[in-house]
Amino acid sequence: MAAPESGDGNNGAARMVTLISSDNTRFEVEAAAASLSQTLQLTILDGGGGGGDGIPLPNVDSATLSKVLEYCIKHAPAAANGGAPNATAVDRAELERFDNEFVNIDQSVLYSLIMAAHNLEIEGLQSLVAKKVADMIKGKSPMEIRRTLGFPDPTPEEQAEMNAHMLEYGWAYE
Amino acid sequence: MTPLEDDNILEQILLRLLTCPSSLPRAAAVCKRWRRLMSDPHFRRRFRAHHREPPLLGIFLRPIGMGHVFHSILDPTDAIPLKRFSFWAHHDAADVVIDRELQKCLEFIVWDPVTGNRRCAAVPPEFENKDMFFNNSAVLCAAGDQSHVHSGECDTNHFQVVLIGCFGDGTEWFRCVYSSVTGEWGDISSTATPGIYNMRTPVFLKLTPTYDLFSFFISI
Repeated sequence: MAAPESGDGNNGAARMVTLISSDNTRFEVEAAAASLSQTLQLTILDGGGGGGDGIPLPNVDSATLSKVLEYCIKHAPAAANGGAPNATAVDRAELERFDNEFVNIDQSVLYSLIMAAHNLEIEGLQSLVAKKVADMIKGKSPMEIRRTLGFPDPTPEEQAEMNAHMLEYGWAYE
Repeated sequence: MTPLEDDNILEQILLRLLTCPSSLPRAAAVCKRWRRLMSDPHFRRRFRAHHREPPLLGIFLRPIGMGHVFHSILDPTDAIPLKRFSFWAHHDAADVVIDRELQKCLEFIVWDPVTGNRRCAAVPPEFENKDMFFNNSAVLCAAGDQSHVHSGECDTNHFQVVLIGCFGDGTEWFRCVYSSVTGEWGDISSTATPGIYNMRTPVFLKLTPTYDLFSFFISI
């Protein structure tokens, strides 16, 4: 019997696709990794992105795309295995360690990642970055949350509304 | 534009806030837009679905000779004050109808304070036995579906009530389970009282899917 055919392409070699960032940098990556993006998946399934064509991503700069692909490459094997239900505890712990390190980044980079994960519809990454922001504001007062996220100082009207809300839920600030 | 200006992204973040009681009020005070998004019932539903396990806020105790009192088990910041329980004013009238002298539970009412739904049922005649005293009760969601989200999707018409108590001489505990589906009580089962308990010991009901009489007992 023939060996099972690789789902990625011919002769067992992984199929590659090329992604082009907004600043015209080309990234060659395995189709399986790029397919973590729901946005790219259909194009790739249709045979796009191969050869000299490449898939332009006008909303993602090269620094961000590089970071996004780092995530996709790391998570692609588990994703290909149906979310890796048979993954060992060691595998899962390694991915968790990677994820924690991965979002240990400047806020501006984090924000770029959030936009990219959203535009490219990479579910796991969307969840990871959203959790990171939620963790950044946990246990903080409303004013501390505003400062952490770079909100401008509240107008007097906004401040009055905040005060009224905090008064109503005073127990939450004790 | 920052990502937080996108409602979908903002919601993804807010859904991942902690479930402790102070978490959402604090975030809701940040600005009007956050408040609007978080007060949307759809958001509340998704928040419950995302977290699945609701936090245990506290317990109801009934000291001898008094009505039920709510006792928070969380830190002061997360201790919801009694006045926030809007159903409280009606609680004594509703909860269970008790003959104060005999300490007999004649009827129970299952009440969802969020929706206001109520279901009443009489207790079976055996419970009028003067030698049986109720100590505590709990309502369990009867949904067996793995994907079911407790509190978010619980059907107030599909539940079980577990009553536990002890016999008058304090030597045996009993439990009995009511099913809203059949509308009937199951058999009363009993077991010898563990040494450290007596009939006046308040009891927590630890809610486990496969409840065993002794899994209920946690001393306080």
